[in-house]
Amino acid sequence: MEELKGKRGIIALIALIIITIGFLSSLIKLTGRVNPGISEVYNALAYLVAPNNLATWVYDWRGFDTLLETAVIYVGGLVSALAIGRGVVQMKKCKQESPVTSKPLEFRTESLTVILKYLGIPASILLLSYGIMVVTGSSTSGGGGFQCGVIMTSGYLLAAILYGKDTPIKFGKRFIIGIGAIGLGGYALLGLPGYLVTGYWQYNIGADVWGLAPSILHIIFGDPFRLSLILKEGVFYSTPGIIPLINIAEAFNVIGAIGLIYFAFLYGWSDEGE
Amino acid sequence: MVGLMKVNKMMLGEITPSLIALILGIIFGTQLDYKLTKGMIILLISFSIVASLLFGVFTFTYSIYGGYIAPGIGFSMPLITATIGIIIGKLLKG
Repeated sequence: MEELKGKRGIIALIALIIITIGFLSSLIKLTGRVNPGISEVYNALAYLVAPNNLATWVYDWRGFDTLLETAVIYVGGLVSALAIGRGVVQMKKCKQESPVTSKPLEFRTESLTVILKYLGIPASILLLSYGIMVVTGSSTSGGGGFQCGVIMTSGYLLAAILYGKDTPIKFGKRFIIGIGAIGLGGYALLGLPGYLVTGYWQYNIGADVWGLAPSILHIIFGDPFRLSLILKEGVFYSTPGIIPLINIAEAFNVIGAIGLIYFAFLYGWSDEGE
Repeated sequence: MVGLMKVNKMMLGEITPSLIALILGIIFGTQLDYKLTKGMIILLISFSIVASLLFGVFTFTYSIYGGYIAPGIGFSMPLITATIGIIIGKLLKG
């Protein structure tokens, strides 16, 4: 708990209070029907597809559904560290056991095949690019923040497999923690504008399918991602609103979660320093 | 004339993802610990262009990069700008 003292603790407490009040007051407004959520289509289809709690989560509460998926990854990482990471993870207050020392693995890049030697690094870097492409296009196509996070950490893992600890993609400890924290915080706080304007947490004020948000918010959150769809029936204008931003936050979140797992098993983990 | 009409239909949604990809590329590019040679940079950009064509945008959205020049072909520009961003990030970090 020492980390939560001082300025960090105050910021964490204020953020927790805001999110708790917003989330609980949104729950109080539930009337038994699917609430205004990310998409009108989701709302229209949810009870027709499967009128149960699962459908409500998947269709209307998709944001929270993905947030909880990420929580599962963090728990998975913690359990993995506890189960097979004995001696790898060194916490400040658990120094009773001496760290397990293992022989350093010898990665000899000269033993790599020609294809891996010359195309391993470009493939890893292109995986990073591909992950970024997936997250930026996720509002108009398949994929999303979660997939982006998995693809980018795959690039990190591929480079680590080929080059070991001297991997050319060196996500630092502070970098991974920072990315994860920005993602998690950004994900939760993106719900705030919608809550303040409409009373619904994470209401998509950019798209505003229910016509509840003022037009200035459409411009700020909607116009940067607005596309014109040219169909036979005519030209239509559509925007995913805050979904691209949520996807980016989610991608950061997943990179932080999975990246930490890889980092801990690659370099070990110590509370003291980088 | 037709071209001008098409440009008018282009919205910010065509450009913003590319800019975001560039920024994200720079952020992650700073984490590279690899000496990028001229050959490697050419290889990365060439592969990105090929991949951006393979993962091209949906043709029902107007695209200045593809639709304007050659209707029916769409380049996924965020992939190219992400690669350029990674290279810039690496060069900035040194």
